Amino acid sequence: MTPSENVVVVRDLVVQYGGRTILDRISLDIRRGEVLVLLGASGSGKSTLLRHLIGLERPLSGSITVKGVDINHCSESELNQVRRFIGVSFQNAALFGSMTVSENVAFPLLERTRLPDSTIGEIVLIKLAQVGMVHFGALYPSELSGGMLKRASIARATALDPEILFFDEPSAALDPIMAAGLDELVVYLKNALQMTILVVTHELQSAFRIADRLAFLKDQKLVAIGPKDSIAQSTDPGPCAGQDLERQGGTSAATGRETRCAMSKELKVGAFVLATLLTFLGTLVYVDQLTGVRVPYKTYFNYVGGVDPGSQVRFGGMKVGSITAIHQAREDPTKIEVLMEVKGGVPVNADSVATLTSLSPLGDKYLEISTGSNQARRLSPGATIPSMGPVGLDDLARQVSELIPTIQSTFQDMQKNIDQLTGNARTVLGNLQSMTSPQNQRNLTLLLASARDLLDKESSRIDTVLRSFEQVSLQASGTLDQANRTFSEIETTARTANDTFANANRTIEGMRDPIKTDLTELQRTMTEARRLIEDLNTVVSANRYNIDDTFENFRAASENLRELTASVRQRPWTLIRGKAAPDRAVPVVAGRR
Amino acid sequence: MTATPLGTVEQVGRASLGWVEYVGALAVQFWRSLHGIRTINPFRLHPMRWRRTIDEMVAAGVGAVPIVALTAFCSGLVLAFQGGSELRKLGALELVIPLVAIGITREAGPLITAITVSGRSGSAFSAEIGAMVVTDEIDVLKTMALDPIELLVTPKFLAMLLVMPCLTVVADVAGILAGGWFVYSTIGTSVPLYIRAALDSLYIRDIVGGLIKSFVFATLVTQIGCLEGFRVKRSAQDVGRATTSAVVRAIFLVIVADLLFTALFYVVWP
Repeated sequence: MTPSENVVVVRDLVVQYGGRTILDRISLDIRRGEVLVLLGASGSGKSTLLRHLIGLERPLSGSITVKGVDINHCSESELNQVRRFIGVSFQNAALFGSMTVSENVAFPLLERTRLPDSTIGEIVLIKLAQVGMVHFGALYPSELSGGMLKRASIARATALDPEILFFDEPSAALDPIMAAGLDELVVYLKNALQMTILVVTHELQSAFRIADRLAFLKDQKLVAIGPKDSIAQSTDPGPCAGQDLERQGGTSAATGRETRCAMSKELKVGAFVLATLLTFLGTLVYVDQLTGVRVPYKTYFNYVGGVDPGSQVRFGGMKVGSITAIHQAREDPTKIEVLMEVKGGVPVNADSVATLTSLSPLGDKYLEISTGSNQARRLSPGATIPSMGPVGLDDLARQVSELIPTIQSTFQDMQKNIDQLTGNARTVLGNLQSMTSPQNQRNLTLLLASARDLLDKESSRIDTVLRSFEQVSLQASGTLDQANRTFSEIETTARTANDTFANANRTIEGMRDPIKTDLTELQRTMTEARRLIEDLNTVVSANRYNIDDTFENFRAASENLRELTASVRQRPWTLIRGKAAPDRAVPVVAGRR
Repeated sequence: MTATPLGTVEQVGRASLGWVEYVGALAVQFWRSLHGIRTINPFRLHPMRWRRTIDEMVAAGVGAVPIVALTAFCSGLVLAFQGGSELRKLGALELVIPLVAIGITREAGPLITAITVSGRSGSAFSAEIGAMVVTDEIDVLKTMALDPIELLVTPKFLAMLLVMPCLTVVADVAGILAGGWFVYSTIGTSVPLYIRAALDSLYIRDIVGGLIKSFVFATLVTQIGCLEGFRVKRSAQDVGRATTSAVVRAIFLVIVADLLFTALFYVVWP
């Protein structure tokens, strides 16, 4: 290990930010075990050079070699390998605000090594002791003063025992005593730990106190480098004189050139993006206009007022083609044939229906083809689309006249049924009448008469019996009274029989009248029913037009329902539940209260 | 200069370049942070990154449960009211149940979670990383040969990937319960019956779709929040700008992604 071995070698380093030159062809060596102090006014590029030396940024040109590795042209992992030998203390300490000082120092050890906790704790204590911060390990960075922050930051930078240590403005914003303490610390680190140290500062006093060699940075260039004695004797006007003016001039020129350059790049990209968009849109329009396949269809209407060849054809509200010709149909002269051409790919299907509509009462009429359904068969080119024209008077009359016979036959059936019913009632009545006919009455009186005859005949016989009884009484006078009594009994019996017959006769006479009134009642009901049927007939004939209207309304309602179904099938989101999956069940919920 | 047509073209170009660069940076950061997940090993000697992941999960996940649940509850109720006011006219008020259940699980749950988390954690990420850029802490990490993306973004990313779906489930439950409350107080459906009806109306694809969305939203919110932080340019003002921009861009891209995924599911799961 010779003292002159170069740990860091910088050659022709050029740095530009947005066209502005920050560092111009810097060449610099850092030797092993020395303290090199980089001096320069603020804004001369010291910090920028430091950031390049630790590989935070990449220069425009030139090379930086750290321990034999060109850190500008190496991979990320090689750069990380080199960084293991580097410790950096930043200008504003940059301690992790969320950790205590001890945790800050322990952080690189925890992340980069696999040491046990106890060892890490010891190392942290040693490092904090080196910078005199042992008692402040438990504090957070926000609780520390500026000098303490710097010390803590040095402790963290040295935690992994780096070979090279970079200091950015160690004594900036510190009082002289603090600054002197830090200078001593730097010298101690060099002597005790054999570190190579680069200090970036603008304080001449401190620089001369710690430096082995000095480097002056001025006007983006390294103007002097050498041992501190030779620099002290140099006649150079110093780092700060007269540099502001020059740099400003150069800056504005460079900025102008840079701006022009960038604008042209953006111009190119903008033009490219716009041109691409225009080409895309143009292609869409072109493809739509010219290469679209046109499919012919036709439909028939009774009435096509308001549309001409060239009128729009819309499918589900979207313009898909135009009408090509309108002329009288050859097969059926009462119809008008409408020929149209529709873009290819439009799913005109068997459920589609052509109608003539307009967007507003004043708008142009156009041919609307309803979207039908996806399940329906697609119509082949040239097919006829079913139409639903405005309803003509002739159509209406024809439909009504088709309906009338069926209604008439219905009523005839009804009348026939009612007639049958009256016929049955009439036979029942006839039967009743025949039951109470004069013939039967005569038969009854005959029966009565014969009974009386029988009684007359029997009385003669009874007389004979009487006579024989008298004869018997003559023979047996004892039984005469009995015979007499029997006789009188028989007489009463005969009288009773007589009464009974008279009663029967009266009863029959009495029964005839209620039956007669019942029959006349029935007859009156029948005539009323007949009148009712006649009334019904007249009502039906009077209301024929009303019924026809009702049928027409039914037809319109069914049309509406079909349209609604079609529209729901097309736009199911009109039913709140968007895009109902066909298999999705509607939940069943208990009825409301 | 901007008045000329050429100036307009330039502006278009600048904006396009800016977007391309932004999306590129986002993609690189996403890939590197995803790649960094392998370094999070809970079983190594000092599982610091794992502990950071746990911390992030607590901060971004557990801490967000009340606000996410409350927001989802309110939006579930809003959904029920809006749907109910129309369905009432059809006499089909009980259809509010599937409306709320499906609307919340598929759409509102993931979206509301993402927007809430973006406001809570996305802004915090960008502010944290932005402040670290301003105080050179990011540079310190680089000089320690540590990848800031691996060290800072990966724990947040992993935490969000784990936490966002959980928060989405919380939001789903809260939103559906809000619908239950509405239905209980209007048509008197008991809560167990409501839950049964809501579950009947849901398919596993609804829930899975919502969870897939939540993974995407977690990625967007974390990556945009962190990227905005890294793009801070060494000033405190920039931190504020980055925070605003993180939330605005995250919400915008979340909604764009939501649109894309909804369209995708519309095609994939008809």
